[in-house]
Amino acid sequence: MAVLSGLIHVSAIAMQRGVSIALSGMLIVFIALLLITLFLVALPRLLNVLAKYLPESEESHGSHSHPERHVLDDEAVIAGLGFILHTELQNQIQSRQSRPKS
Amino acid sequence: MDVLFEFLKTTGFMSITFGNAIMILIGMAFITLAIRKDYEPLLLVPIGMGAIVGNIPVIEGMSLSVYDAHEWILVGGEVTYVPGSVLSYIYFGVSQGIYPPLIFLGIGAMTDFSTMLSNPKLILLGAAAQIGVFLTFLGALLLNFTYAESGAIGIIGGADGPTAIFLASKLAPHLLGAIAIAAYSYMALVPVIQPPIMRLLTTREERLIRMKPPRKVSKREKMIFPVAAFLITTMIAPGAIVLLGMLFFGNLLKESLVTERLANTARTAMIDIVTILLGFSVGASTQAQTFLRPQSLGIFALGAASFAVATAGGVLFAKFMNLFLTEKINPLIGAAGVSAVPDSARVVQMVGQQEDPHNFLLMHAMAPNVAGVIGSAIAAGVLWAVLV
Repeated sequence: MAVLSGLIHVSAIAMQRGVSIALSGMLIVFIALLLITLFLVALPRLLNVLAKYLPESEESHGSHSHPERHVLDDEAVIAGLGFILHTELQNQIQSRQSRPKS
Repeated sequence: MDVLFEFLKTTGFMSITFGNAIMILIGMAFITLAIRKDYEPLLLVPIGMGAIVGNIPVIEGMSLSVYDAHEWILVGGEVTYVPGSVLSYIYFGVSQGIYPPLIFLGIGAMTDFSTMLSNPKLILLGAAAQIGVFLTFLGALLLNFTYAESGAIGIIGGADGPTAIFLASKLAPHLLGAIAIAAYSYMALVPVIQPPIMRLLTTREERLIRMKPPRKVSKREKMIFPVAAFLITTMIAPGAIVLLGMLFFGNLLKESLVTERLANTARTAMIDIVTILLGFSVGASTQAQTFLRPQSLGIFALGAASFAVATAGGVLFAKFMNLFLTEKINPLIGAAGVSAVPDSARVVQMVGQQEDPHNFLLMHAMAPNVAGVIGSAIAAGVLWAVLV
């Protein structure tokens, strides 16, 4: 009986510490995410103020200067040219086939 | 002929145990679920195949299992290096917590935080859902797990596989296999576990609530967010530096607009490679001898409870917030506070559309969903700091 009550006592102490860890943990998570929330609420206002001195350009410098953008654009242009050439070629072949043989 | 008999003794047929056979069947079940039901196939196929590989009985004296790690031994007064098995080197990334931050890098590079930035109050739903982590921690303590083990088990409630693996590798490496399998299994079962709880805790009127479309977020906000959020969260919970550092770094690669190539690699090839290595080696670590134990059953039961509690926590907190808000939020999106991205957000969309096919909740649900990722990483950081 004494052993059992001892075990219950130990378990109660463990749970007590566990509860305090759980409550503290939950509180810390809430505080961290609450601070992010408050920051994000304030951010547009801060940026509005900042925009008076440092206006945000419509296009980022990244969209102008980065070489991979050109690579992607080039690929799109090449694909477009390829499609046009293919269509033209098809049209020419069809018109030749449909032309009455003399 | 003797050679043949000797060889036969080394075959899997001679040394397979009942436990191995069960684990091989479980591996097959995972693969079947992934193929037939499309439940998290990118994870369940590698884990399932890994479980099959890991449960083929190995030949005594041969270094084959994930647990045959390299070591230095003292032979005749000289320190000799004994190489580990190939699988043990792959598993090294799991046991040392290397893969999870790399996965977070990829997640960061593919995540659009716009909806969260446009409606910041929804972040709190991601915090509320973390109640699943801490209540499961208490539940594990009640089942006589140690503090460190309980912390590692509790994080299953975060519904975040990489975070669960990361924390388990730090706090309870011996439970890593069971925790990882439980976390990923329940993530795969999000469409089964969450809807009944969501319906139970909400009225039809609440499920029909339509929310205002999110505002347009500027590029500058998106660029500032990862750095600022990293500073805020890790100043409070430094234990989350690795996970959140990689998450926000990945997001900065995406949003900076000047490192598109790096962001693209992080969110495609790299995350795929790490997922393959992580899934397969976690599966291979589920050897029957280490996995099929009564405590694994306890972990699975606690994992299921933690998912249910986390879902309920998010939904109930959304209802609580509605008491004070003039523009009501649909409480279903609280369920997305568990961080299973994007599955739980999809579930919210599905349950919402069952009531109103023209109600699009997906984008709103993504806010608590990604907040849940941050929340569970903070919870992991806190538990690691307190329990290590």
